[in-house]
Amino acid sequence: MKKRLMPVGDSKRADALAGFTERLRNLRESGFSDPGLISAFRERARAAKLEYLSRPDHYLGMLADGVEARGGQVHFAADADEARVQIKAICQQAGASQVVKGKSMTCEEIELNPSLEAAGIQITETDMGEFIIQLAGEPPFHILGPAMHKTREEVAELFSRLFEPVSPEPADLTALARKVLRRRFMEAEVGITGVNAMACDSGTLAVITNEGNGRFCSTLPRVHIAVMGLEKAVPTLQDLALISSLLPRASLGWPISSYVSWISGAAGRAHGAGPEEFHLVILDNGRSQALAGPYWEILLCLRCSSCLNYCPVYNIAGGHEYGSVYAGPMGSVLTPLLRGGPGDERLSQASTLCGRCKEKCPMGIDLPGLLLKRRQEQAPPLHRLMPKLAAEILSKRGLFESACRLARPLINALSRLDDDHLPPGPWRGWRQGRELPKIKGSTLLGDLRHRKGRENG
Amino acid sequence: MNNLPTLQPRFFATCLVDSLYPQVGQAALRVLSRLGLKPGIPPKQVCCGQSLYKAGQVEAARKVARAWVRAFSGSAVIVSPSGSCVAHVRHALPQLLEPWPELALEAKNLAARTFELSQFIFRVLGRESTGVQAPAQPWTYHPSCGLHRSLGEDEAPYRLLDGLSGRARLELPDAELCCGFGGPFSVSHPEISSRMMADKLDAARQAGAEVLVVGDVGCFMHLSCGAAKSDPDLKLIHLAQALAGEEA
Amino acid sequence: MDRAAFLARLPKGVVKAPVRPPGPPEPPPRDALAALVEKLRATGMGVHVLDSADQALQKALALIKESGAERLGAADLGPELNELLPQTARSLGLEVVPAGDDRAEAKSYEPLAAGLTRADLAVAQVGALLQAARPGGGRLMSLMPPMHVALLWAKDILPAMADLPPALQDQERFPDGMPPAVSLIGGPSKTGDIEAVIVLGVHGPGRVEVVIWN
Repeated sequence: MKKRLMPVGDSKRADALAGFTERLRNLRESGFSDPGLISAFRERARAAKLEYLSRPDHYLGMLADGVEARGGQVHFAADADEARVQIKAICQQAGASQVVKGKSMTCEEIELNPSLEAAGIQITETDMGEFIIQLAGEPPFHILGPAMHKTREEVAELFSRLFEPVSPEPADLTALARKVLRRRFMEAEVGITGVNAMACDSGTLAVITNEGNGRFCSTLPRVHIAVMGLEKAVPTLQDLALISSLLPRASLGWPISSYVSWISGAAGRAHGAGPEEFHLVILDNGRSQALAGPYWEILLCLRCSSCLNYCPVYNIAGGHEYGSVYAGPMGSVLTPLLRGGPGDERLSQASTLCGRCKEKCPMGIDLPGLLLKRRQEQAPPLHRLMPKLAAEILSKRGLFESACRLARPLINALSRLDDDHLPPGPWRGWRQGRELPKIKGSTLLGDLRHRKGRENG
Repeated sequence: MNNLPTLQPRFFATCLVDSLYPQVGQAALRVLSRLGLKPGIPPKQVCCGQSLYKAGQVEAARKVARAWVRAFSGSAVIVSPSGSCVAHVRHALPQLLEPWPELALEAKNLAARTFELSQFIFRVLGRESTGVQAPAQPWTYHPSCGLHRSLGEDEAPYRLLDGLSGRARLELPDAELCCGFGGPFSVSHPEISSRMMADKLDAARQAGAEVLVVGDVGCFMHLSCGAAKSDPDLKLIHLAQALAGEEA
Repeated sequence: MDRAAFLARLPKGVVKAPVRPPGPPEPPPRDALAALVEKLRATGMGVHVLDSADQALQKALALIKESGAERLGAADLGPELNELLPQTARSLGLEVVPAGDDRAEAKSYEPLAAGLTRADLAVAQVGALLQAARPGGGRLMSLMPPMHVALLWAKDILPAMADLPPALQDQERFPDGMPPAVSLIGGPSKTGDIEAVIVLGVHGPGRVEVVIWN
C-alpha cells in the first residue's frame, strides 16, 4: 500500500467515498442493527457454510449433478486463465458477437472483459455503475457504487459524447442508459452473471440485484453463463433462502433487494421461459489452497461490503490503494491468497486491528485475527535487531529503566529538530502532525521506589 | 465475581505509563486507594508485549510475555489502566506461552484475574462511582477499541464516567471510530494514522469539548501527541485521571 | 480441469461442521397479509387489498388505465381471472396483449407500457412477490414494461423465507417440478449509482402496484 495517503488531488474522491459509505452505514444501522437478529442470522449462515466447507467435494459434486440434471453444463476452472478460456469458448461456440454482463467481482477477479474483447466479442456491463466506468475506462470505486466518484456532469459528458446529448439529471441519465442497455439485452447472444450463493441440493443459484439487470442477463439471451467462486456454495435451498435475505440486510439494511432470482439450470426448458443453454463455471484460483491453510475463514465472505463501509482505513485510503478487485479488510486477507506478489504483503499492515469489521461482518469472520496471522508470517527479517532489542528492554526491568534514562536526551534532541531535518522513513512520517511525548527519564516505578526509600530512610 | 475488599490488587502500570505518563499511573493508584485498597506494585514488571505481538513478532512477544508472567506470578488480582493490554493478557498470553506448559497454565490463571481499571471498579468492587467531580470544562470520552471491543467492556467506563458529579459527559460523534494508533500501524502508516487522529480530535471539538478523556494508554499517547501539535488547547486526560477527579 | 481432478484438489475435513441451530433466525409474522402489505409499501410499491378476485382485476386494470396506458401485456392470471380479463379490459377501453414468458417474443413486448401478472407466491416476512418461469408466466411482464401490476391471492402468501423451498417443491402448485427460474420481487427497479441519487426504473419497472384479494 502506497505510503502517501490523502493525496491532495484526490480529496474529492475521499469525500465522495466517505459520503457514500456513511449512507450505507446509516442504511445498515436503520435496517439491521438488532444484535439478537444479527446473531441468529450469523450462527445459521456460518453453520451452513461450514458444513459445505467441511465436505466441499461431496457438495460440489452434488451441485454439479443437480445442474446437469436440469440441462445445464458445469465447467471446472482451476485458475483465472482456465476460466477465461472456458468462457470464451462458450461464447464463440454460441456464435456470440455481443455479451451482456451483470456485476460480478469474480469476473473482475479473472479479468474476463479484455479476453473476450480480444476475441472480437463486445461485452457490455449492464449494472448502471459498472456501465459508466466501463465507458470511462476506469476501475470500480466501491463494490456497491462502482461509479460513485463521478459527478453527474461527468456522466452526462460521457453519455453525450458516446450516445446522444443528455442533461446531467440522474433521472435523465438513467433513462438514456436504460434505453441503450435495453437494446443490448435484446441483441446479446450470451448473458453472464456472477453467483451470490448456490444451493447444492437442487443446483440453484441466486443472483441478487436492485436494478433488474441480473434478471435481464439471465433471461433474454439464448445462453446464460454463471461464474462462481467455489466458496459460494451452501448445502441446501433453505440455506440459499437464508443467504438471500442476509446479504441485502448486511449490505443495505433491507430484508430483500428488489430482485432475487433463483436459477436452476436452463429456464428455456420451460417452453422458452429463459435461456436455452446454461453454463456454470466454478472457479478455484487459490480457494482450495486457502481452505487447506490458516486463512480458510475468509471463504465465508458474502461480499456484502460491510467491512469496507465500516473500516476507517479503507475510508481514508480509498479502494484503489488496495491494488486489487477486493478492497478493505476482506480484500487485505483474500487478495494475497488469490494472487501472491510483493505488493500484497503490505496489505496486512494497513490496519489498526480495531475490530469494527469483525463486529459488523454478517458471518463473524475474524478479520483482525487473520491479518495478525499474516503479519506473523511476514514479520520482516530485516528488522531482526529491532524486535530482539525491544524484547530485551521490555522484559528486563533494569534494562528498561536504563533505556528510559538514555532515551531522554535522544528524544529531546529529536523534539528540537525541524520536521524537515528528520531522517526520511517512519520517523518523519510519524513526526508530522505530532509532538513527541515528553520523557522524564525516570519511570513511575522508579519514582515510587525512590519516594518510598525517602520515606523509610 | 463479587466484592472482595480484602484482596489487594496488584498494579500493572504498562510500559507507556511507566516511561511516559507516570501521572496516569499515579491517578490510578489514587483512585484505588480512595476506594480503600492498597495496591501492590510488582517491582520487576515492564510490559505485556502487545506491540510486538501486533507487529507479528511472535518470538519477541513470547519473551516479554514470559517476563510478565514471572513478574506477576501468584497475584490474586491484577489491575491495569490499559484495556488493550488487559485484552492482550487475556486473549494472547496463554496461547503464546504454550511451549512452556507451566507458564502457560499460570498465564491462563493470571489472565482470568486481570482487569482494566474501570472494569475492576465496576464489576469486581461493584461500584458505580468513584465519588469525585467530573472535569470542570466541557468534556467527552473516546471509547478505545482495546477496551470496548477487544476486551468487550462496553459498560464500566461509561457507568463510572456518568457516575461523576458535576458536568455531564458530552456525546462524542462517531465515538466507535478507531483513533488511528494501532501500535505498529502508527509507524507503518503514519499518514492514515495522523488523519484518523485528526478526525478524532475534530470530533471532540465538534462535541464542544475542551477536555477529552481517553480510555486506553496507546490511544492516550497517540492523541496527546497529536493534540500537542494541532490543538494544544484541547486537554487530554486518561480515564484513570478522570476517575481520580483531575481537571475537576 | 476435469471434474474429478478439480474435486480431488479440495481439502476435506479441515473445517468442522457445527451443529445447525434449529429453526429460522426470526419467528414468522403473525398476520402474514398485514406484514406483507407493510413491507411492500415500505419499498415504494403501491398496495391495494380487495375482497374478491374480480374486484382485484377491476382495480388492477383501473390503475393501468389511470397511468395513461392504452395497451397492456397480460401473463397467465389463472383460469378465473383469464376468463374475466377480456371483458373487464374492454369495459375500460384497454387493449390486452397476451404476454407470457416466451423469450422469443420479448422484442414484441418492448412497446408495452404496462405488464399485468399473477404473482405465484409472496413472502410476507421480507415483503416480496414471486414470479415463476413457465409458459404464460409473469417474469417478463414483471421486468420489461415500466409499470408492473401484480395480482395476488392472499392464500398464496407464505409467512417466511423458510417456507419458500417447500412451496417451490410442492407438486400441486408446480406439477412440472420446481420451476427452473423464479424471481423474487422486493421493490421497484432502482439505482443510486449516480451521486447516490435514487432513481427508479433502471432496467425493471419503476412503478409496481400489487393488488391483493382476500
